[in-house]
Amino acid sequence: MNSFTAKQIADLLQQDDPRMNLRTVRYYTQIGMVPPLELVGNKRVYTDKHIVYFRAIITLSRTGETLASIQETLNKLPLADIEKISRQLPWYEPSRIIENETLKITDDVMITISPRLSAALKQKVIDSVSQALRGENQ
Amino acid sequence: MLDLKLAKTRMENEEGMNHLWVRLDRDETVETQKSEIQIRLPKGLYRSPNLNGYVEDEREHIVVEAHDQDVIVEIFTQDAIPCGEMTIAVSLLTAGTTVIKEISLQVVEEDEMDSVEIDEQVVQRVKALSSAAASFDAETNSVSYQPRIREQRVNEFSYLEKKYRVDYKHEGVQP
Repeated sequence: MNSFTAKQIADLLQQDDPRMNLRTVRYYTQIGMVPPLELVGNKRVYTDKHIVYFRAIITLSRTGETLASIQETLNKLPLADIEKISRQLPWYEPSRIIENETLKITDDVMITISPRLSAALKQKVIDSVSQALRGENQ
Repeated sequence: MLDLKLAKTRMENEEGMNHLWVRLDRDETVETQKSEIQIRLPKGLYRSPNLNGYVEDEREHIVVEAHDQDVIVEIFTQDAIPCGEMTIAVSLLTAGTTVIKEISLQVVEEDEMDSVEIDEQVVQRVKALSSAAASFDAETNSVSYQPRIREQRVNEFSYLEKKYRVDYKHEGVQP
């Protein structure tokens, strides 16, 4: 189990969101947005689990959720599901949302495509995924 | 008339965060005028623009309407400041009258924060704000918050509001 100080957590999270500074990390901990700190020896420390929680909070806050709603959601979910939310953080980068295009193939599948892909390659990707889904349904 | 609460009774002397909740208890049927809220902080304590999205004038007074119920601001420390008791003063200025209230908090070292008391009522209010996650960024000197949204509701008495509201512009009537 990795252990971190509040400062280390803030340094890590600031790469994801510059507003997640030390005072915000401390405050979110104090108001119960993340689980209580773990006791290692006589020190209370953050762990990988806390990083997962913070990244999930940033992700959901980018969708416009209030902290109350985020807390309610996270309280209901197992850690594996919270980790899934936290892994989606890069997709909610404002630059990605502005530059990339997200295409809905079916209700279950959406593809986000960077403008760096040529039109031909983009079409090929869409066709391949559509074909795979058709094959699945047959 | 004016009630102050803090999310935490103590905060870190360096990189600490807190929220000040200013509750306004005014009779909007009597008071129809706008008021201004002035927040005076001791040296070393800073505040964000209000998180409600109310207008702040050039003197950093928060302008509130008669029906506005509360104001929330983030209070924070940046570089280390001397520890001790500090006082925040809030003035409510309405048409020549001023009401002043003060609230104290302890500014302490980080390792004294273990016994911090959290006011759940304030925290619940902060968590209900959509902008709570977007804290003040001292480096860019900016804050992100959602614009204030006033919900329009239609009910059986709406026609009276339209009829008697001074600022209501009826279709076909030139202002």
